[in-house]
Amino acid sequence: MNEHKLSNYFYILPIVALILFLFMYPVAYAIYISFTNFSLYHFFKYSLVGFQNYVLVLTSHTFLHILGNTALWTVGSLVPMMALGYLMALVLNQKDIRGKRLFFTLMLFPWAFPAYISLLVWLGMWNYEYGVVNKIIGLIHLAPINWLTYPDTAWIALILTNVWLSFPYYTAIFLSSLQSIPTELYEAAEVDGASMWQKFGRITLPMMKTSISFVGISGFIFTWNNFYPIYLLTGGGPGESTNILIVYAYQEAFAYNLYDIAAAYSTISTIILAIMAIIMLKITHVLEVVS
Amino acid sequence: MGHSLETDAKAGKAPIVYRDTSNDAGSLFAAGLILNLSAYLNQSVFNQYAPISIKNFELHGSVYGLPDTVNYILMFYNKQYVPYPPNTTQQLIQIATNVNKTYHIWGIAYGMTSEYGYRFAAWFAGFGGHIFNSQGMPQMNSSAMVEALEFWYNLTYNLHINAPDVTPSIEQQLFTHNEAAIIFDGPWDLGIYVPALGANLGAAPLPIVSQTGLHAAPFVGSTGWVISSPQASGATPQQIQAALLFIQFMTSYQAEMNLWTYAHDIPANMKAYNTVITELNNDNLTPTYLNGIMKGVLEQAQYGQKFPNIPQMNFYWDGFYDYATEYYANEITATVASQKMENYMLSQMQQAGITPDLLLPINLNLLQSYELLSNLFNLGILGLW
Repeated sequence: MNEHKLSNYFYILPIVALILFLFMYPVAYAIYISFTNFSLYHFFKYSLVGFQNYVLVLTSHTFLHILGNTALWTVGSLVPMMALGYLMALVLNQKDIRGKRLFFTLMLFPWAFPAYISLLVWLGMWNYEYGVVNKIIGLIHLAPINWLTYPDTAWIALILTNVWLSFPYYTAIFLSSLQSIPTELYEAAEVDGASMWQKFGRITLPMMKTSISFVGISGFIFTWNNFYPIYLLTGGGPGESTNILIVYAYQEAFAYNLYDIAAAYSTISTIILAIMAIIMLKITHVLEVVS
Repeated sequence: MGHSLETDAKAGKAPIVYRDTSNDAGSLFAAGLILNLSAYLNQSVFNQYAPISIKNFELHGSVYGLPDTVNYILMFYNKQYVPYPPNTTQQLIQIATNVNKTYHIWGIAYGMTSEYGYRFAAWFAGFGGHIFNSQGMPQMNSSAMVEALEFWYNLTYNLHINAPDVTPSIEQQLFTHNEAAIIFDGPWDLGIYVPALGANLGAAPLPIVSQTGLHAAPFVGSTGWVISSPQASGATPQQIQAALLFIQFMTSYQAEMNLWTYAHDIPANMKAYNTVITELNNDNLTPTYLNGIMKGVLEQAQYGQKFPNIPQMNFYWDGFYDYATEYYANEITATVASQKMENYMLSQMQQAGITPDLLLPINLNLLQSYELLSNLFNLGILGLW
C-alpha cells in the first residue's frame, strides 16, 4: 500500500519540478528583487532594503491612480465583452438561422488573428489624419476626433478595440455551454406553456451559471494583465490617464531600469488580483462545482 | 537592444562589442556595464575624432566609446511650397500659414503628442531652457518650458498649421506625399526624403525663436562603438585587446567615409569629416542638388547642445511625454505640466538613488568652442549661405 502511494507521487514529480522551475522560481526571484535596491544604478552590487520599495509604491499618488485605471480597464472591458459574447451566442444558438457556421467562422477572425498585428491595424484606424473611424464618422458629417490624444476618447477607443478583439472568445465558450443544455428541458417547458423569458430565466441562465462564473473570473484575471492593447495604442497616455499596473511595471523596469520598483508593482498587482479572484471564487462556488 | 544587453550582462554573457548611442551607453557605463576606454587607449586616439563626438562619449572624465557618426535634427522643407527656409519662428508661422491657405496642405508635420522630448529639447533650448543645471538637477519647471509647450499648442490647435495626432511615420508620409511642407528630422532619414522629393528637398537649421532671439538648438549626440566590461561579458584580456582594435577599425577614416558615401552619415572621424567638407566645397556629390542639402545639414551643427549622457537623462523622456501629452489633452495647464515634469524626474532620481552630479556642465552652443565649427568657417561652408 505504501509502495503504491510512493509510486503515485513519483509520477507527478516531473510536473512538480517543472512548476517549481518555470513558475515558482521566477515568481520567488521577482519577490526577492522587490525587497532589494536592484536597478541599473545598483546593477552588480545591490542590497536588501526591506519594505522600502513597497512603501514608496503604496504611498505614491501614481499607484492609486493606476490602480483605478486598472479597475476601469478590467470591468469596462469585461462587462461589454461578456454581454456581447453572450448575446451573439444566444443568436447563433437559434435553430432557424441560416449560414450561422459561416458567420461564426468569420466572427472568430478577430480572436484568431495575432493580437499584436490587429492592434497595430487599430492604431491606424483610430488615427486623426488617416484613420477609417474618422472617415466613417465624416460620412455622417461629424468632425474628426483625436481619439488617442484625449483621456475620455482614448478610453473609448481602448475598450472598443479590446471588445472587438475578445468577444468572439466569449461567444464560443457561451455557445458551447448553451448547446450542452439538454433540449428536453426546453421541450418540457414548452409543454408546460412557459414563455421565452421564463425559459431563459428558469433554464438557460441557471444551467449556464457555472460557465458564466468561470469565464467571468478567468476573463477578469486575463484583462487585468492584458498588456498589449494599452501598450500599443496609447502607451498609458495621455499622461498616465490610461496606464494600468502591468504596463506601468513594464515601463519602470525597461524604460527606467528600476527593476526593484517594477518587481514591487508586479507583486502588489498579483496580490490584489489573487485576493479578488479568491473572493469571486467563494461567491460563485465555481471550484466547489469543479471538485 | 539595451534590454537584452542588460539581461545578458547580469549573466556575465553580454556581447563584447556593440554599437550604441552615446546617451544610452552613458547610463550603461555609469552602471559598470561598459569598459572605460581611457584606461586602455592614449589621448592621441581620441584626438582623431571631432571633440563634440568624444565629449558625447565621456562621463566623469572617462571616455567609454569611439564615435562613428554625429547626429542631430534639423529642418527639411519642400521647395515646391516653401520659397525660402524660415530663419525665425515668426517666418515659420507666416510660411506655414501661407502654405496652408494656398496649397491646402499642412504647413508643418510635427507630432507633439507622440513626442518623448528628443526633438522638443531644441525648442525648449530656443526659449532659453536647460534640462539640467550644472549640478545635474532637472530644470524643467521654467517659463521656457511653458512658453515652448504653448508655442506648439498654438501652432497646432489655434492656428491649425501643424498636423495633430501624427506619429513620426505619419509625419514622413505627409512630407513625402506632398501633404506637409516642413518636417524636423535627422540626416539618417535622407534615404527616404531624397528619392521622394529629389531637387525639391531643402535642408536648413531650425529657426531662431522670435521671442528670445535664440536658435532652437537640437541635441548633438553621437553613435559609436563600445566594449562591455569584463564583468558584464566575461571577456578575457586578449578578447578585450581584439575588441579595442576592432572598434578603432570601425571608426577609422575608411569605415566612416563608407558611412558617408552610402548613407550620408556625418563622420565623427576628423579626417573623414574634413574630406566631406572638401567634397561639399567642390560640389562633388551627385546628383548636384545633394550638395546643397548636405550643406544645410552641416550648418545646423553650429546651433546644437550637447546631448546629456548622465544617468538621470533616462527619466527625462517619459517625464516629458507623460505631462506634455496631458497638457495637449487639455487636462492640465502648461505651467502645471512643467512642474510635474520636474517633480517626476526628481522622484525617479530619488527612487533610483541618484544624487546630483557635479560633473555636468550643459552649455548651449557648445559646438562654438569646438574645432568642428571652425572647420565650417575655415572651409567656407558657412560663407556659402
